[in-house]
Amino acid sequence: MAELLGQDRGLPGGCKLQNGAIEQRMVVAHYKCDGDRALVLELHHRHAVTAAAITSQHFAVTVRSGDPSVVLATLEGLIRKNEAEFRWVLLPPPAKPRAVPVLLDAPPPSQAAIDDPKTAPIFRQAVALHRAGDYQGALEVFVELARTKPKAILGHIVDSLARSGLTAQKAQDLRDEADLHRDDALKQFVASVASHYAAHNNAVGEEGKPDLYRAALRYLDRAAPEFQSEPRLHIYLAVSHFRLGQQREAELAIEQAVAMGAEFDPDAFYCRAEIFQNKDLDRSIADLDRYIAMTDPKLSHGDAPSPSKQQRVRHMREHLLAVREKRAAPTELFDPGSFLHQLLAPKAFAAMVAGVATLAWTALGLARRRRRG
Amino acid sequence: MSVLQLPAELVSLLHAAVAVLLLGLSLVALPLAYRRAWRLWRAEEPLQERWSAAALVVAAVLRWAVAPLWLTMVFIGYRMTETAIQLVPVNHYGIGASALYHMAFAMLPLDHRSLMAVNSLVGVLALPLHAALALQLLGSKVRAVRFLWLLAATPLLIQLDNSEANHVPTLWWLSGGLLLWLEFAQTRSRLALSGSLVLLVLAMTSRVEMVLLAPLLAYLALWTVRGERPRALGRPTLPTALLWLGTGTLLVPQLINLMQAGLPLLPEPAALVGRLGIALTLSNVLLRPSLFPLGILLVALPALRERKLWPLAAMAVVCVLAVAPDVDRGNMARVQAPAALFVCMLAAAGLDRLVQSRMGSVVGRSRVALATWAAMAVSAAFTVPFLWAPSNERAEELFLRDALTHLPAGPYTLIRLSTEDRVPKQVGRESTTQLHFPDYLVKPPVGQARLSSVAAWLERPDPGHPTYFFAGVRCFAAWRPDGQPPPAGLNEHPACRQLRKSAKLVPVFQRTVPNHGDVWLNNYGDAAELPLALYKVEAR
Repeated sequence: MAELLGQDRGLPGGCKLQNGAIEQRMVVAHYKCDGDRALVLELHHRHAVTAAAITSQHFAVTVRSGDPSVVLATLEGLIRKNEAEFRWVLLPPPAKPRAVPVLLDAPPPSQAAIDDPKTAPIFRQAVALHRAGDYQGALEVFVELARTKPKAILGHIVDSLARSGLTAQKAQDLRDEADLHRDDALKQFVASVASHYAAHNNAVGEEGKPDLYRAALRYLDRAAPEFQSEPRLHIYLAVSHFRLGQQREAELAIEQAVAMGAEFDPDAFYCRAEIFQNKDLDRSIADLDRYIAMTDPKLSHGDAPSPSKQQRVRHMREHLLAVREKRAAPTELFDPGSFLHQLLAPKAFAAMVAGVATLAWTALGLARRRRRG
Repeated sequence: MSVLQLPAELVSLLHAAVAVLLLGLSLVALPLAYRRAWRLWRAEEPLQERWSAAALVVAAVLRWAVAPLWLTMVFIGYRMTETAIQLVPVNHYGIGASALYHMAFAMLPLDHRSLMAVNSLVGVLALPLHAALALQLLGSKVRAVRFLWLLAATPLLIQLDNSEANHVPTLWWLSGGLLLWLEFAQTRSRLALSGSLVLLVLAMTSRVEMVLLAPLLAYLALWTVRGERPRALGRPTLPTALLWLGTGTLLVPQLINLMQAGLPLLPEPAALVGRLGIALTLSNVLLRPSLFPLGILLVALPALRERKLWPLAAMAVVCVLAVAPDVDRGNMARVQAPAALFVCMLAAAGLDRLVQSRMGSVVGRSRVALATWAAMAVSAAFTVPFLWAPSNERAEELFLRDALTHLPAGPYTLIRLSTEDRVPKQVGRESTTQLHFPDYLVKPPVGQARLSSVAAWLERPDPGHPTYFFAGVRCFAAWRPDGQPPPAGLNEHPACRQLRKSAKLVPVFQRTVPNHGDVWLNNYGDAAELPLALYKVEAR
């Protein structure tokens, strides 16, 4: 690794490696260059980030701070030369925490957020708003709480966003907000998830589904350095890639998400089922079975997930079984277009208008006949 | 949960249901309005029928054969077309006119030219209703025929009819609704009342200001016809009460829209008073001889000597005031067009008074009539070069049509400026420049383009497909308030500049156009020419 990072070598621009360290799922390298300028680079798994300064066989290099332009080419050469010796290894997930009440689809909050006497009342307030159907209000409180308990309740933020009926415009507003605060990783994450759900639930108009999924990927890239260890980040990366037709990137990201935290987030299996539906039907069906088992109200320890989603997943499973047995043709079940927009396609809309006019004319004719009679 | 927090999908569904119902019922109500117009016209002495028919033919020829289809909304028409294609979510105007265009897309291409074609047709179809309404309000067929001629040939109204403005169907429904409303007031016909309410509510769902204007205009129209302030319309019956209740229900989605999208656009009360003053003076299309014929305005003045026409004058004034919160140089020719319609009615009456003032002398009356028509015609001709002035927006539209022919038939990525490329005010460039692009001309189902903003492409390039960059006049546009001088040179948008730096741009099709400057909005620098281009984007 030291050789790969250019230790004991004269790098261009007078840069010298000061130290390197492994931080969670990345390697961080600190350099000192001419004029006492600091440069900090991060080496990630090559599929963990999508916009990197260097992408090699195993690594994606991003810049944490400083100007890397003078050393990039040399470092790229060193990385490519030495990386054959290197292997990424996925560690087993940590032990399962004790069951805590979960908000429907969301993964469980960290116990700390609930137990801490300072944050527990705020958490309860947000949950109360959520249960009252005020998802926007709940979101605001959860986001504020996440500032004091970083990442502790990411799942609740995600769930509130998913349920708050996000439109493309609202997602755009959140992206504008994120643009104004590029250093705020949480805002980037919220903007990315908002774009993802705006695409999934309500994509229409100037920004259709692909535009919004692409936007989700961009803001996930920005959030990645901070939220790298969050399985949800990889879930959204995976699904957004898949829905843009990028199967390979989707597979890598979803496998990472499953390896990191599927024990606590059944959605990882649900999303993997979606991603492999056209490639490995048996695996997709098995993943849906796991999702159903994990979220079955009789089996789960906390609140049951949304009954409508459970029902939907059972329907998807039945459909995939039918496809496997060639009783049905594959169809888009996981991310269908908005039903309202199918209903309101111009021809269907014109037909409905004509129907109302016909009824009105008929009623008028009958009324006249009755009056004359 | 307040109205403002209702789920977007539910609100959209309500809007769509109301639109289906209203448009369906309008196919009954409009024939009723035309029947009423025909009966009123025929009931009067059968004079000037040829003149009426000739006015209609001239109106049709001017709109369908002489005047071009011409975008007037300074790039907002692209967004409006996109909204009409998708139908929901509803934009801040309301769903009425959008729903009509949406229905038209069942047969017409997904293109803003389709919107303009529909408007051009509706503009001519509406003339008999406008004329019949004038007949009711002015109480004279001679005046109504004169009004019809003014309507047929006033450049401002011709331009409106051939534009993408949603005022055209709105005025169609408004005139039909007012006509049936006056029929109800005279005959107590419940059918007329039903038809009137359908058309008025349709107009109210097409433009937010119509929620206020339509009832006010109905009241003032009744005042004009009766010659005195209208009091109760008689004892309400159960059926009419139910009709009113039903109408109120149909308005609910538009009222939600008004609260969600319209009210936030309103200025503070103190500022609103100032805006009303500006709308009456500086931003009043009627007082702009370059946009509205001065001759028509002057000829309308003698009509004010008829006290019974004061409510009609008030109709023009409220049409000017109702749009005060959002009127400017760029949109006054559109948003105050309803006022122009009523001023044309007054001018028809004023012309009558001028001619009548020469009673006794046939030659004298003919001379006055001729001179007045000539004055109106000259002042109308004076507006033509201003209304159809060459503009950078028009140059982009023409360039775009040619550039589209150079794009591939297969999949490709098209980079164009979009809302994601807005520059925050904090860095000194206003974020209100309209960056909408007619994506629907290139994306599925019409073409195979994937659209990307410059910002998105720079952050996450997609090398999978051939990539093109459309550099239109918006690459050189940055809105600035009145009073600020144009910036020096091209004033290139930072996103376009950044893309030039970051990628190799190979011209596929380019055209240098004269910089026409700030014809409608203050957007452009002082460079003499603007270099427009469609580039192929290649890696450096």
